[in-house]
Amino acid sequence: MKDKQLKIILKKNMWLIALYLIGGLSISMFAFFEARYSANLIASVASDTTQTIVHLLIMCTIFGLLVCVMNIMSNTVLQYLLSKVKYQYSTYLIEHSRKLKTDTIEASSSSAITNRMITYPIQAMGWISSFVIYANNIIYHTAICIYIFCINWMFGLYMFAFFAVAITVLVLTRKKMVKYGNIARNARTYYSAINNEAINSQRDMKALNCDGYLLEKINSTHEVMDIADYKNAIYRNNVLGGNNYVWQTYMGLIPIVMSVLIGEYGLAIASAIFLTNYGAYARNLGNEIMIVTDNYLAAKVDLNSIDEFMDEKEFAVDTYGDVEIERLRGDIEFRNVSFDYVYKYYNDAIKTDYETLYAQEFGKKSTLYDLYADDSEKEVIHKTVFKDLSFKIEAGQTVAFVGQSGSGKTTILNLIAKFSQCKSGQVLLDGVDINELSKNTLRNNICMVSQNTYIFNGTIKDNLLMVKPDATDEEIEDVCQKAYMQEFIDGLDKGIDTVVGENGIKLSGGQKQRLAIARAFLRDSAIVIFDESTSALDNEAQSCVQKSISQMRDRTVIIVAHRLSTIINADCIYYLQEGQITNKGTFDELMESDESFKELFLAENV
Amino acid sequence: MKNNKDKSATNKGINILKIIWQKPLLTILWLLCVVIDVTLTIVIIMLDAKALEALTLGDYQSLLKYGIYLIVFALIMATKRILQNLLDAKIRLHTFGIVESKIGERMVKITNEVYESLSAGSISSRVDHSPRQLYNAIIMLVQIVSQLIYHSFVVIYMMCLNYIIGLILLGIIIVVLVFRLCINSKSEKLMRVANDDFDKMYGRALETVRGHKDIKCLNLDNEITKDMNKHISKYAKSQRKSENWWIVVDGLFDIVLAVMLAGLMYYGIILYEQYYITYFALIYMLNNYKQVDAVAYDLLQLFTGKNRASVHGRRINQLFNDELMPIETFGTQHLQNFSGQLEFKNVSFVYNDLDLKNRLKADMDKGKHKKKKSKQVEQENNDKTPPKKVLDNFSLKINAGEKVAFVGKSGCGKSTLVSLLSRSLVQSEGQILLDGVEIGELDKESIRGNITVVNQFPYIYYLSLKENLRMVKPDATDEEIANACQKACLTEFITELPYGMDTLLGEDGVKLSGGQKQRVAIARAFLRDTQVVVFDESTSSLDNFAQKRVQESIDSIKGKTVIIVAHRLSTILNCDRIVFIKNGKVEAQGKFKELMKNCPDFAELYTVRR
Repeated sequence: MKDKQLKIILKKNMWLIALYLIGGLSISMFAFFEARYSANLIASVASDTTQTIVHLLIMCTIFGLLVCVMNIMSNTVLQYLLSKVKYQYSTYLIEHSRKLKTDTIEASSSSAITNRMITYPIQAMGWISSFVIYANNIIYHTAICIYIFCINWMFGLYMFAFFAVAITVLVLTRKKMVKYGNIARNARTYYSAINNEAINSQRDMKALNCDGYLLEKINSTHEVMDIADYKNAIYRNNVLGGNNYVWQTYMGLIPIVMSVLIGEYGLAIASAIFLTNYGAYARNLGNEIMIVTDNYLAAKVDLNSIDEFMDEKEFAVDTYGDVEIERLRGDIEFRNVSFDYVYKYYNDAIKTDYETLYAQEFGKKSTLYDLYADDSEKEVIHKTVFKDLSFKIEAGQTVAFVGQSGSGKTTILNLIAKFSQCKSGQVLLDGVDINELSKNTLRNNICMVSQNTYIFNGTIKDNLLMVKPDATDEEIEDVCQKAYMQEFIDGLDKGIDTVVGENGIKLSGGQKQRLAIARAFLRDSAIVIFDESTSALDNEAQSCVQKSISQMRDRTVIIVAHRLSTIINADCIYYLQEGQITNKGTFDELMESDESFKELFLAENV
Repeated sequence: MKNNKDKSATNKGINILKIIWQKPLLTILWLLCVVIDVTLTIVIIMLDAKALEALTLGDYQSLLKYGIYLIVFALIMATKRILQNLLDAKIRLHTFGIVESKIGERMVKITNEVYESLSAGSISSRVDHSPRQLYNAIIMLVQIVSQLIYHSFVVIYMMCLNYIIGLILLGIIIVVLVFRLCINSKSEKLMRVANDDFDKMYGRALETVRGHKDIKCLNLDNEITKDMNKHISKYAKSQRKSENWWIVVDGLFDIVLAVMLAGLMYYGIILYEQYYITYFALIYMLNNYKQVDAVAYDLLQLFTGKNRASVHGRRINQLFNDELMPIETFGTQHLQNFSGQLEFKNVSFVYNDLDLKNRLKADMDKGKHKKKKSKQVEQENNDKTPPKKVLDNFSLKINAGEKVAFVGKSGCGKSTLVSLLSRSLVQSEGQILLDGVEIGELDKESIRGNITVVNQFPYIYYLSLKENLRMVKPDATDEEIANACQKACLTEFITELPYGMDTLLGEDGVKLSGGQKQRVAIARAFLRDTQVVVFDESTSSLDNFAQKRVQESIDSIKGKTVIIVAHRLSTILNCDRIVFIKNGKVEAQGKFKELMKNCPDFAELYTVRR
């Protein structure tokens, strides 16, 4: 556990932990006394007066009751503690997730991140809670075992010998058990992933009639998973079965040991009964230690995943400067900016290695390298998108970037919005390096509408109010008008209060885009970026939205669009080819001076 | 034993019993283990008691004798356990393989509408999570049953020692069980609330990750964090509440139980003093009276375990329930040499709101309150106003080999037409004819094997580029693939990839831009080379050059029926016919120039404004 936060949270709840520990210790103590009195009770039944017996029975019951009462109290405290820690830890992790770099999030699956911020901490808490509950029992059972030693050291030694054997077996096999467990776990992750793919792609799967292909893929994946599970189960069975042998032998031998102790060493019968009864606790202790280590390891796996999450190298976070500007004018400048794409792959050597390893383990070929391979074994490849790019956009201008796909348009937009970090050079907003600007300056002044914007589950109105919680109805109506939404809102059963579903699944592509545009209008920031944000609109809607965009005053507007007719009115058009600005100017200027641009435009209108 | 528990999973879709029985030898061996388990348990309990009796009498020679018997049986028991676990693992391997295959097979057939009315999570949890949970629940049940056998024989043995005490013990077991069952139902309710809260929280969190870019863009951090915290706090509270209920109520009951048992032991001591029972009997009772609690606890676990198994069994069943999650149905007629002629005859389409979430919930509750819930759902359905018709008496004939464009405002029904054609959706009224045969009568191959749809936002699998293409035609040669890439204007892009065609795409792989994804999808369509190809806004993200080259490839398709849905003029200009759709009907059709002249609505859509 490298991350300090859990420790800090635990420290914050110190008094609750202390309270729980006191409770736990007193339970162990009471339980121990209950056991002692019940031992005495058994011994006294044969010889003592009824009064003594009843006295002992009462003492025994009282301690039993105390255990019950303390159990209620300490468990309640534990639950309270856990729910507090759970809340504080998850809150912290979620807050952290908000800081992650955009490209980091895009490079891993959304469920991988969500699991790390929600599922794993909660799971870890579960493990920890059962860990402490068993730890309590361990204290109590250890006390009894020590007591047994005091009563008869020979039986104590007998007990200890078996205990040592069982624990040694576990310690020796632990590592391999964990390894097999991890393989099974990874295989399950794979299975989930392929299932999710089938579910998410179902439209295309049907349209392409390739369900057979996917099904085969699913089947081969679950085959691997099942075999991994099977191997894991068999290995566990061997280890735990061996452990079971040890304890069964131990239990089975007790009467023989007793007969020897009574016959040869004159052990008192009452003591013999006590030892027989409580000798079993050694087995319990052994099992509990096993469970506790199991829980500890499981918790560690979860906490490690969280550590990864907190690790700057694996999940990089955004960093911001502290220059605070309430309202940017909207000047944008690129100074010698270079940018690389970074790919990570398993190279062929690693692939072959793992294929062989896999074939040995499972007796068949598979391409599931991730079952063994680590991320760090991937080869890193850089690909230059652009080098030394410089340009300047004046505040208040409407600017368009035009070029073929792959020419770097979206990268430029990502750099302006600081969704990506440039390799070298500077991006300046209002003359200030973008890295020096504070988060609020950046996020409040730049708004980007992308082609495939995320729409939140809730009503249309919710999606709008989200951006500006105090927006009046008139403002909302106004932006709906501007984004040409009124047309389809009127057609909906509940109008603006219609629930749109997860990622706006109930809206068409064009409708989603218009909702996203309306959000941008409502936000009204100094720099507005439209990245192919009207691609799914029909011409009429498109021209209406276009008009609204061109009416935005005192805003720097940046547009990327393939449909060149949408950018005719731009103040300046940058024409990008292979990561270089080859030309710039107004539409008419470019049409005149740049053959290639002209061709590009004419291609649209044939 | 195990087989009894499996009943919950028995249904028309998956019959676990039958699947297990496919391996009769394993099953019989397994049952044999169970028989050995029961017999040996009884023997060991008897021997244990005998040994204790010898011990109390100080007869260490008999003690030694019983001890030797015991160790032998203990070792047999340990061996049996290893064997049984091995059988368990083997049975699991066999059963799961079949169950997972069946679920997978079903999953890919479920209709579009189901997928769209549910979140992806609620299906994947049924596919992925429930079978495992069901299995775990069954394993737990098996363990509980074997514990139960052990504990009950100890109690029975105590009854044999003294029937009065035995009867009292039985009474206590019944009281404890009834009490626990009562508090359990409330506890389960609380647990369900907590689980619901968890799902909500998880869904919310997933959303914040998926929408991360927009959250940053819109600077929604604070709102989202506040909202998330609210959900976490709600879950943490409801979770605590559900745990505490059990801790407090059961804990209090434990106190009562302890007092009752102490009273019983007092009674035992009196009996012993008056020589009604032997020293051994008393010791045995003192040692084992807590097993009463264990029996009651096992019984409860049996009950809750069975419930859990049936919940997950039911969740899996829902996947196989044709009313809740219908699968696509196809006819039996096979089209030989489909020419590509299509006809829509008075087709109407209405999106029916499946309201699946509530219906699934109602189905889960069915076991308990059968009538109430289903009635409510019906009522809700009746209250709804009939939804709007997306297509209204739509008729159109498309000749084989014709290139037709569907044009209209967004929401006019173009995409619905496409979905109907590939039978991703089924028309509410009217007929769709392929070569004159109603689409409903055709088998899957005749429809899907002959019609390719390229969507605007295609799905790219987490596979290499080559595999992404080959999946639509497993026997495609490298040449064919290269050719398709050429046509889809992908070649340049491929040369830039670090591993060319073998580069991994999608999640974790190379992130493709919208235009690149579209081109991969178009390449798939070219590779499939079916008689009908539908391009549904499939070039919207391409730049004009790429668009032009792809368009040329599309234009050069000969002898196939091509349907293009697009806003961009250049995409549709070369079509044989443009169909202008408005409000779910054909408003006008003809060549571009004719439409510009005759149809003012169309002209308005395509007049370039400056």
